[in-house]
Amino acid sequence: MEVTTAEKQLLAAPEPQSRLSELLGQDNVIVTSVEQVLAWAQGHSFWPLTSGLACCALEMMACGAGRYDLARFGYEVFRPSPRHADLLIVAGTLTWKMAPPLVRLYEQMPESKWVIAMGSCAIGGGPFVDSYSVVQGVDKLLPVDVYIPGCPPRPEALMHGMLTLKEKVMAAKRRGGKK
Amino acid sequence: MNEEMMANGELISTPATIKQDLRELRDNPDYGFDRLLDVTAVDRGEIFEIVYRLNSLKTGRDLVVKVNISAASPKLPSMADLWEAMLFGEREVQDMFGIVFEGHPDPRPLLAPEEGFGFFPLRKSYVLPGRSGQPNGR
Repeated sequence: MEVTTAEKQLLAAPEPQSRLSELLGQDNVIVTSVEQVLAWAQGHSFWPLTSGLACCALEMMACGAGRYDLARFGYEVFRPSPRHADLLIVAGTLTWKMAPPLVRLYEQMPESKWVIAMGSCAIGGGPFVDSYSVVQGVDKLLPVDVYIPGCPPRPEALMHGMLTLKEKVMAAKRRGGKK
Repeated sequence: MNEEMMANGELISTPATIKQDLRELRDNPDYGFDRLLDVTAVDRGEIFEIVYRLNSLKTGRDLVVKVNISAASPKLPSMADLWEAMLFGEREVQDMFGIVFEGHPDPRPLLAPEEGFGFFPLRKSYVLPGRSGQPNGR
């Protein structure tokens, strides 16, 4: 069977396109809202504040180092300045002496910002709950988004906590609400 | 000063003479206690006992100097002009026992928060809040 010139032209022509991709002139287009794109970007690139208070900070450091490699998730940019950070990981025991500086750091962080309470001490005082000097949970002072139990939590647990926070950030934006 | 007490390594002084005694112990070459190791306190109920631990770098001897003050009005002159190590030591005792060191050049809380706890944790009358839900006696 012979192929006519008209048929050749028809075969070479592109597949029928949807109206939208026709308008945009290409195939790989996703339709979404700005809110959702922002949430997607925020959830996949937390910039945590370098703020270790006690031994949990060592697990946090291990999490950022090569063996566990937090960079796989886009969370490795630990910032030394609260002005650059959007995630406060309270990693360790918070004392009443340290509480005012920590709250001040949180207040210096720009919106939007999130708080992770890492480990028993940050959640509720941990083994020092009876002490006169230890804050019985950072949620007495800061709005905590994710609690990570453990004493200290393993790096995997911190990763899971940050991925949970990612889900939370993206879900909140999908619902159209704030955090 | 009582030589017998000195021989035991312990000297009981009085609030009125403590500054003079410590200066004597530091400056008199017969004693030569030129180094302050520690300053702390003990709650004995009606009285507070302030404890100074001195050491001589020349002879290696230690001396404990104690002063009893009334718990009702716990005050004592500051020794910060004799040893600079007193600066932090006296602030710690101030935080933990509520003892006022008169003439201290910088009496801010050292270990307690800036506004202070509102209580003195090392006094016998202080009860740990426990897990009763009372947040640290606040």
